[in-house]
Amino acid sequence: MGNKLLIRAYNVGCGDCFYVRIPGGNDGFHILIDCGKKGSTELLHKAVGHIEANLLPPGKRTGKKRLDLIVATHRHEDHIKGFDPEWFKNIEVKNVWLSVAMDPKHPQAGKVNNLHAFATQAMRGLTESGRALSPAVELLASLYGVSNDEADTFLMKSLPRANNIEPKFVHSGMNGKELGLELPAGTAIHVLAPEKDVDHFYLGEETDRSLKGLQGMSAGFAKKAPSASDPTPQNISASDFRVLQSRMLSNGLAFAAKDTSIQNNLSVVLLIEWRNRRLLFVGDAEWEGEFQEGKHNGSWNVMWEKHRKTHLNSPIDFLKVGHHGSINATPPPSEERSKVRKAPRAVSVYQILDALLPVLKTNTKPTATAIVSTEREFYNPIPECKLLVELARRVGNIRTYGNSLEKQGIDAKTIWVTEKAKRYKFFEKYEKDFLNQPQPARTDLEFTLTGKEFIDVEIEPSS
Amino acid sequence: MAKPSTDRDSKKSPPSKTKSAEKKSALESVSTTRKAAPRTGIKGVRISPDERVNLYAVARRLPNTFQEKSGLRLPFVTYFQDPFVAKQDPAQAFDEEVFVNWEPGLADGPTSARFAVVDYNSDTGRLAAPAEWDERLQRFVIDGRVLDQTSVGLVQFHQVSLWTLLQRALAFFEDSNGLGRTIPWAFEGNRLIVVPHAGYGENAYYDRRSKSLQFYYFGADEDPVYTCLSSDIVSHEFAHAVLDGVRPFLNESSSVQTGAFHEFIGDFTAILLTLRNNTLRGRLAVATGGKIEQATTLSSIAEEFGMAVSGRPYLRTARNKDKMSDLADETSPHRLSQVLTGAMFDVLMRVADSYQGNLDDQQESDAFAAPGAGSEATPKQAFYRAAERMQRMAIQPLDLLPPVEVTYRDYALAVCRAQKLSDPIDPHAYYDMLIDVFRKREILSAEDEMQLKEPQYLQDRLRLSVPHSIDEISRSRASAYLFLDDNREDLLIPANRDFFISDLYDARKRARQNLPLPRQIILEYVWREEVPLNGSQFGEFNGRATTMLCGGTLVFDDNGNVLYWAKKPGSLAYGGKRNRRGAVQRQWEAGVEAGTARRSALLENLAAQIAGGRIGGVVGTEKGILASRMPPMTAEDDDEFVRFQLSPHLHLSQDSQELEAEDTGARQWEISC
Repeated sequence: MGNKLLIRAYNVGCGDCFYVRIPGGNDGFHILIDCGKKGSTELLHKAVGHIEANLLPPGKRTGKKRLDLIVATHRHEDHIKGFDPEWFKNIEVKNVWLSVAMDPKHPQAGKVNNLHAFATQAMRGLTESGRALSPAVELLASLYGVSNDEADTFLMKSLPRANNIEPKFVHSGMNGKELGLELPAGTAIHVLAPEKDVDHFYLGEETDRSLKGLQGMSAGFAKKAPSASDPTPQNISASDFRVLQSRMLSNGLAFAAKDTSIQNNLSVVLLIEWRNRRLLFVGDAEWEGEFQEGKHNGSWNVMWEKHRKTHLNSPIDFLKVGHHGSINATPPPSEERSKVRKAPRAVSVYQILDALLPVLKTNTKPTATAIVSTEREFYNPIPECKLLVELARRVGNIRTYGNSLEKQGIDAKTIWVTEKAKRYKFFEKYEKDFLNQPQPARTDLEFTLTGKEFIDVEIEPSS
Repeated sequence: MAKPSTDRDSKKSPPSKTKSAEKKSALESVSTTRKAAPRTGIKGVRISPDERVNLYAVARRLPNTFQEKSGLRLPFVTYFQDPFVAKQDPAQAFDEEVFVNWEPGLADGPTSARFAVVDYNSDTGRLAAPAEWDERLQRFVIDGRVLDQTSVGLVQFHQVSLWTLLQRALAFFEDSNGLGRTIPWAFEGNRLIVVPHAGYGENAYYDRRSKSLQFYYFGADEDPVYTCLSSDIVSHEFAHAVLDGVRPFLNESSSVQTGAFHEFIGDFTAILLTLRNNTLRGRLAVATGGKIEQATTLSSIAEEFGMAVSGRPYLRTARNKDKMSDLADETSPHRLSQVLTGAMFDVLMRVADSYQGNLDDQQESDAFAAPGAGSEATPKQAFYRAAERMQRMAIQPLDLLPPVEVTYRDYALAVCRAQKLSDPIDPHAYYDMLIDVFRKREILSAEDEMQLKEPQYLQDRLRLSVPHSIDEISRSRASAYLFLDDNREDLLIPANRDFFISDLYDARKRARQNLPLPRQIILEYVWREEVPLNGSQFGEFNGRATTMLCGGTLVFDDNGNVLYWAKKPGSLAYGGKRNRRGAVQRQWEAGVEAGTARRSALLENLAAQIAGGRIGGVVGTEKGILASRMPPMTAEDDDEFVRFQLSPHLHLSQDSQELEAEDTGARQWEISC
């Protein structure tokens, strides 16, 4: 293994499956950060098998391998679907970290969990009808699918129990002792998010008030407004009624959209410090306008508020690009500020990217690296290539995919050819204009080019 | 002559007042002024239901008092709960009895000719029982109980209250002091679906696609706030439906001014309906701590009014000094609407100012003059009187607007023109006053002022090569087309483009003192000019094409004279064989220049909207749509062209939402999955 730190991003489509090996200590320290994807799980199974076969040291018992730490950043299926205990039965897992928001007993996550329960019920109600949903709604609904419950159970119960451990619900501010890891020399792992008081930072008073109000008034209506004897109106036609229903404002959808954003912001964000190198794994943390107490804040905003003078006070060496390259999950560069409005209110969120991944002077190649684990298969604007091009100015492991594909004799038009890709013009609308510009390493196109099921980034120690 | 129905007809007395008691008070008021022998009712005269239907056929010609006696106008109670009334007002909710025209088809819902109340709640997925029409009691009831101010807690009462408000608001627009005609809706159909308790949210909106007005509620069960009970919110949203019906093509515009015009109509309608209503005036007085009552100057009244309504989303923009140049780069229709709302409020104040001088001279109608009032109007009286006049000054010009892409300038020109048509002698120089107000706001230019003040015969605006009789023109859209086709060159319609008649109707408006104005026959025509979208600035629409709407409105009198012509020319030259020189050629050059400028502006606007991420699709299912992801404009693609349409605005606190949205730029329409 040498003295380099290895980050391996498996190509799992629109999902995350990151393996990190920190050299030293007892045969290295082996971490798996997320294992999930939307859609079928074949690739995940392969990835876990590959990790077990090739990367992990032997465990205590014969025939077993050892995995020091599993981190499931948050509960969305594209991060946790692959934690099937069956696949891990030959792996001795030493630690399982989950976001403190996933602790059902955590008193400071009560309101967020109430919202999640409401949204789950509403979205399952929608999918029960069996009617076809538009792509955006389908995607939203998939986050509330019954299969997610299963994955929840794997992580909270079956997987830890199979290893005689309890999951640890982590939050920002926990010190090394509380986190309880035996790390190699020169290594520290910090949890930068979420904050312990989940309800306070990420929910927002308005959402809380609205949800309470909605639940209270719906109950009130059920009591005081007895339903009509006929559930369909007699003074308009049935088709007019159907159209009316489809054009009313759905609180189910509204709260589900809010909830998914909040769940993303409850991602465990890890800063791994190793020999003066700083590696940031951000899960699906999002950014919003400007930090404000009591508002629905983005995780980036909260982290900047809390850690900019400490853990985030200098550039990083590696970024696991958030949310598969979504524009919501990487703070914007400072130039964007002037384009938004004459005098935008938000200020500090535009400082973050430059602080962590500064654009260096011309002729200086950046040494920082980044990986985007992504595939444009489900939700049209992800990844946002404009963002990737912006990131490519700040990192060294870049490629101009247009040229590379051409050299290999691959016509880029043939890459995105599913029904959905053709219908929504994935190539023409979202990729074409950016292929001739450098982008950071992205799992989908690397796989197309090399056929390898993973991307490796090796980090040399600084000291 | 039939008196216009105004809010002065509404009575504050409880509905339990019997018919004979009503008769008595009507008789009393007559006897006070005339001192003739008391007239008693003719015994034994009753009106059967069939006879009422016969009377209904001629109801328009009958005075309101008789209509009320004979059951052709019925009292209903409306209940106001204004969520945003100033904190000084202790009694935030109040009721009022309003007379609404009876119709033979009144049914459960309530359902009438123009409205169908459907009390469906999208959160609970349930339909509440509708208010039932009781033929014997001639009232709406539920479980046998009459719905009046004693049943305020019942949802069925809300249904009736809302329906009553809307019937009255519709009358405000259709009245001869308004547009003087029955106005259509913009959708296929004539019954606007009204949803009083659509679900939880600080929302209210008019939606053309579902032919509906939806009102949501918020707050908590112990302290609920129903938007269906706020007269401001109901008036504002309803005005959107009206303007959409009167000028449906405004929906398809990428220009911020057109969206802002919609907002202005909503806001200003809410203001006028508040100021014209006795009960609401009373509430306003209380809301200002009585200061409006005591105000000694008009400006202090306006100040008080402004403060009383500050913080109310629909009336927030009345008092301001904004000019067009102050908001040159504004992309929010709400904020831009302030300029026009402010301008028309200025007009109201200047009219009120002229009323202070001489009340007798300015009497709007006989009913208002209290005996022995004297000739000096108090500032308060002048203010309210002016608000009544504003119904004509602000609403009647809507018929003079072009059918497409209305700008503030179009409206200002229409207002000035309508004033000239309605009051040609104009002893109080309102015409000049209007021009002055619009100039100060930079809505009209110096050149506009010059042209407007140029002495010119009313009919000298347009010379037509091929006259058609007005009978032929107004007979049908098809025959109107032949008239327009014969005169394409004069009307700046290109020779080789097909066009269609978007509307043809007549209107009978009234002027001061209810004097009838000459009948107006209005003809609107429209065509589409293809506009390719080439360039990366059009994002996903690069390589597609959209259309620029062109057209015009012609207003004729009974003799076929053209009273007004509002035109939106295209960018194409005439292209035909007839090639008249002189004035017509110059007209064409100016038209093509204007059309070309409009086309460039359309492309610029679109590119800006696309860059700002303000165009998107609507996310939803058969159970409803996602409000937070409703972009300001949607793109409808029929494979031939992409049509960009304004979305309904939803959230009552639109301003703060827009501000927040702007902080996050183009990404706001994405869902975090």
